[in-house]
Amino acid sequence: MSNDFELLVQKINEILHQQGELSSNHHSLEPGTSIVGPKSMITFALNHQTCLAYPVESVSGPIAQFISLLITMNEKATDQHSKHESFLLKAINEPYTPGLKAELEILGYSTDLTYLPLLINFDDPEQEWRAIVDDYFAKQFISAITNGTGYYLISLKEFSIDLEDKKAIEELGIGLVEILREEGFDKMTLSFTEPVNTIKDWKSSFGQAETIMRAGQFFHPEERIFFTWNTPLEVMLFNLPKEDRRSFIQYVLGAKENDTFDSEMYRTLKVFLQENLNISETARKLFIHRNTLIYRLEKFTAETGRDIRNGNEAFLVYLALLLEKGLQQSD
Amino acid sequence: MAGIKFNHIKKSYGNNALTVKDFHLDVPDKEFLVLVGPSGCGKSTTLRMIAGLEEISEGELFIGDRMVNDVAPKDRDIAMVFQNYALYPHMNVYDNMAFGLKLRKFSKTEINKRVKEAAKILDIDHLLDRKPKALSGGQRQRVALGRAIVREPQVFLMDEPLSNLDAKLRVQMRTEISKLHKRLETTIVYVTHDQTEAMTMGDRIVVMYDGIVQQVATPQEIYNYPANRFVAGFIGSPAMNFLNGSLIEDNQSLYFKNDSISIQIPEGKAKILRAQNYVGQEVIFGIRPEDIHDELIFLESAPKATFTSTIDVAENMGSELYLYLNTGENNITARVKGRSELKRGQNVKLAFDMNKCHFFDAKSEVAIR
Ligand SMILES: Nc1ncnc2c1ncn2[C@@H]1O[C@H](COP(=O)(O)OP(=O)(O)OP(=O)(O)O)[C@@H](O)[C@H]1O
Ligand SMILES: [Mg+2]
Repeated sequence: MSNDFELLVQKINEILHQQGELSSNHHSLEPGTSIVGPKSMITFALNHQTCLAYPVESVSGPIAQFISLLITMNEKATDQHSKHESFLLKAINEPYTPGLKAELEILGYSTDLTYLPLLINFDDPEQEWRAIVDDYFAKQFISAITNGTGYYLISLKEFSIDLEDKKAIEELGIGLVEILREEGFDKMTLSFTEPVNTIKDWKSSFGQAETIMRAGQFFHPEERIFFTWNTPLEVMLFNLPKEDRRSFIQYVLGAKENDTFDSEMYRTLKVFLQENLNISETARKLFIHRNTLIYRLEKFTAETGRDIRNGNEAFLVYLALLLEKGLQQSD
Repeated sequence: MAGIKFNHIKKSYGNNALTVKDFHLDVPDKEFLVLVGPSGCGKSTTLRMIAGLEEISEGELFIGDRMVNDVAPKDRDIAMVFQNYALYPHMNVYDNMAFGLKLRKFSKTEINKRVKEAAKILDIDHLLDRKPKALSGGQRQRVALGRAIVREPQVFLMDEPLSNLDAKLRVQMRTEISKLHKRLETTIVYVTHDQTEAMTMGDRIVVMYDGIVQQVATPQEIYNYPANRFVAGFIGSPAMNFLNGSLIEDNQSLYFKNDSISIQIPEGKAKILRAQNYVGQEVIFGIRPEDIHDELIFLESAPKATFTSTIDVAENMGSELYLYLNTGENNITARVKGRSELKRGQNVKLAFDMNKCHFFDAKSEVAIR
């Protein structure tokens, strides 16, 4: 047996092994690509509906069978997948009808499962990231992808995650962001909403996911991932008319309003509020000296007349700075 | 293996002011370089530019001999490790480590070889069948390191990889990563805001503040010769004490004076201050807590470097005692031998070890030397 022949078998096995992905288009094999050299060339068109393959020379009976199997599987998978996709797109775009539930059952999904909605947005419409997301959630989801946007309903049962455990869901999400980064993807935004129990809620959940994504990106372009339960303030402020935002900032910060956004003060206050106005804990979390923190707060108070060691005032200033942060990014 | 060269790198997001301002540095091959600084100073941004996740606004970046400004992340031959120990929840440890290589279409034999090797190095061979759920925090972080090691990259990029671990485990993993560095002999760029991590792990440390590199040097150098007041205050715990005052010439000796303190400056340091025309000027005096002493011998040998103060808080750390003192206008922290008789409200006499003190320009805050 020739070396080429072995390579060919290996390659086909590899592809068979990944059969679930055949229908997706993150394989870069294009018509005319040779896998094993010109002698025993085999050509695919995986990025399109049908999978063409023509064995040359050394391809014998069993290999030819493999290849025909491959072709049918690919067609089936494509078919199956597009059914799921169009179903999901319908469920999240059109008003709810009881028929949807029956359809979901026909597709083989349990209707009383809890799903975790995830919206993913990539700057780049290339879909190489799909394989990573697929494997991260072990394909335990219903999904639809259009352009750079992915809608996922993840079946949480498989992850033994307690639905009330928001930290666990956050870790699951952050883990995915880090994995994507490890593979070189960074121009993306993810948003998670509360888990949903009924198909009735799918539409509104993805609507919400879009809102928190927009508000999140506006106020925190440095973040890649947002959760409904962490962004209520951002969502509310995002809906405020621009003029109202400005006048609120003006009201709270007075003369300091025209300065450039004070990112250090913003971060300081955020931690200060999280730590219940505790100076020592805040200083520890910020890795600065107590005295440095006190000095920073006092200096700000002197400049604005806002006594930020008082909880009410601290919160007002935090809001004003958050608004300013958003305005600065959008200008 | 490869070093990294930053040639006047700048970064701004959108139309905003520069987030990283002129990062210029040569990182030799095999160096363990730590980027340290407070939150928001631009550490992660710098790391992400090396990784290719972030465009470089200005300047050139080289990994080895190759200019990589326009090279995609996956072609840069780097591997990243983050704090949340990214793992595929459904895959066992073996598959988690293998996955990146599978994506890159490595052969099964090669994948197997690399995974087994990395598992051995990290001492996780016995965990290869486990799922992430069944791992402890430390083990998960090891697997995350394994995912990076199997790629055999030219450069490792680590962004606060230990910040999710509890204090004890963090100390342990610090040593492990240092050992790993020796064994792998690869360049590592490591981001942290923990100055202790920086001091214990780095061959060299880059201290950043507000997007500007404040100092690049070995841990010893940074500790003993901080370039400016920021570095002096950021590195070391408890932090260095700073007093504002002026330099006054009195009877052929130079003194540092303010409303509550007057101390004589040793001749060696006085010479430098005089030569740079600081006599009569305002300066910042800096002294580390461990360079303040209360032993009698010391007090007697340095009669003109003493001060008396009330103890605000005495924090007993066992072998040491941290004294928080109030001298009227200045707060001073001293780190003295642990003893029981020193209590809050008490008056103590202490002396500065003036050979260890630092002076900074009052305006620019740059070290005078
Ligand atoms: N994608 C982005 N768009 C706009 N601004 C950003 C973006 N990423 C980061 N920034 C801003 O750039 C500055 C530096 O951020 P960076 O993440 O590099 O800081 P860091 O030193 O890593 O801080 P930390 O210790 O908090 O991680 C911050 O003010 C941050 O808000
Ligand atoms: Mg960071």
